[in-house]
Amino acid sequence: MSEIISIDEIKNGTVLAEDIRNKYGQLLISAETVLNEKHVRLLKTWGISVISIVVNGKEKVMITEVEKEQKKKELLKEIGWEVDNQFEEDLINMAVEHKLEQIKFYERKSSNT
Amino acid sequence: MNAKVQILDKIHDIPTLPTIYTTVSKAMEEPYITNEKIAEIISADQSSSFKILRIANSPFFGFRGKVDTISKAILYLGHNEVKNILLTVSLLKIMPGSKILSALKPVDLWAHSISVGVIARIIGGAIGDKKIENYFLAGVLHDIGKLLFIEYMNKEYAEVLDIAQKNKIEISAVEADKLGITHAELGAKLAEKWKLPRIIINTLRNHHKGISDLISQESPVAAVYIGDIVSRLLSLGYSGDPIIKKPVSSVWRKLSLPVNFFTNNRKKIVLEYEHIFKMLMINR
Repeated sequence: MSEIISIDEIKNGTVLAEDIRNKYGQLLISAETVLNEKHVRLLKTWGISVISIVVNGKEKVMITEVEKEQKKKELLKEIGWEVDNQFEEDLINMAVEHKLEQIKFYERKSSNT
Repeated sequence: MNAKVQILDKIHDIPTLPTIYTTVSKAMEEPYITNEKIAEIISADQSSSFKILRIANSPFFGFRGKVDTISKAILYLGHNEVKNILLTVSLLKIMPGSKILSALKPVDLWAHSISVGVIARIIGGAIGDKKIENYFLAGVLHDIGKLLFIEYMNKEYAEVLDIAQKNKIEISAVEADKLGITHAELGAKLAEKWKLPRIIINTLRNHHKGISDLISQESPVAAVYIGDIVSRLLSLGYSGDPIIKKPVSSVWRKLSLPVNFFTNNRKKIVLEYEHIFKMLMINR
């Protein structure tokens, strides 16, 4: 899994997920490099502000069925739909999982800093 | 002069497509043209070439890392695919973003449009349409009419967005009422002026209805229609619309998607959107 972050968020041990190239296509830092302060300076020099980093699987957020049901009710109320078929059910489930994952992600982020 | 006449008049001032795109699409129509010759024309524009290569190598196309020259891109992806990527890249360069509305920023609208392109293409792939190259482009362009309104009727459009927001109604309805023309129709008019393929024009015109006037072109219309709803449900970028409408049931019949298609493809949608957005918007 990878995640896109701002270079200000680089911490010790952050691992790059994809090659970084400058605007001429030259390789600056290759994927899987463990980033340090020198790399951050290099990125700043080239005006690169966001990078894609590796996210460990163990940090994956857990979402319970109860939370899903609750969020689903909220969402349906907000958009004013009644679910009529399996496709709409699927659409709503997709949105619910996404929203919950984002909420948990930000909660974890703010508790880390 | 009413708003509709005024905005249609403004379309004449809109920049024509960049020469690189028109030259390439003309060259591709020549019967004896070689891939090397086309690659040569594209390669003359360094920044476009670089972006085309980055996009051609994204997970989207499944050739990750293998496309290192423009001629390879043409060989692997085909003429139409490369032509459409070139158009997307060129458009982001020339489309004005000089004016901003606090209610709807062009960059958020582009983000929304790119996400609709990504989702439409994933849907197109799932239903096995052979003309897959049109899905991404149609999605990216679907709201271009809104961009024109922001640029050329800034004050009037701010009012339109405000009315839609306050009354919780679709922007299109307010556009039709206040300006006499919707962004869908306006976008289609621009696509006509640019002589884009009919299937693209038709998709822009009907993206809010979900059904097409032409049966043969129904799939991309339905894919962009659903892509629009998915993008809003996932909050990828912002379309300016205060509501997320329930899909018309005919669209589901048309697409007949696999079971749990959206939950199974959610991660793919978000990752590919982030990837392509980054490729297209950085160093614009």
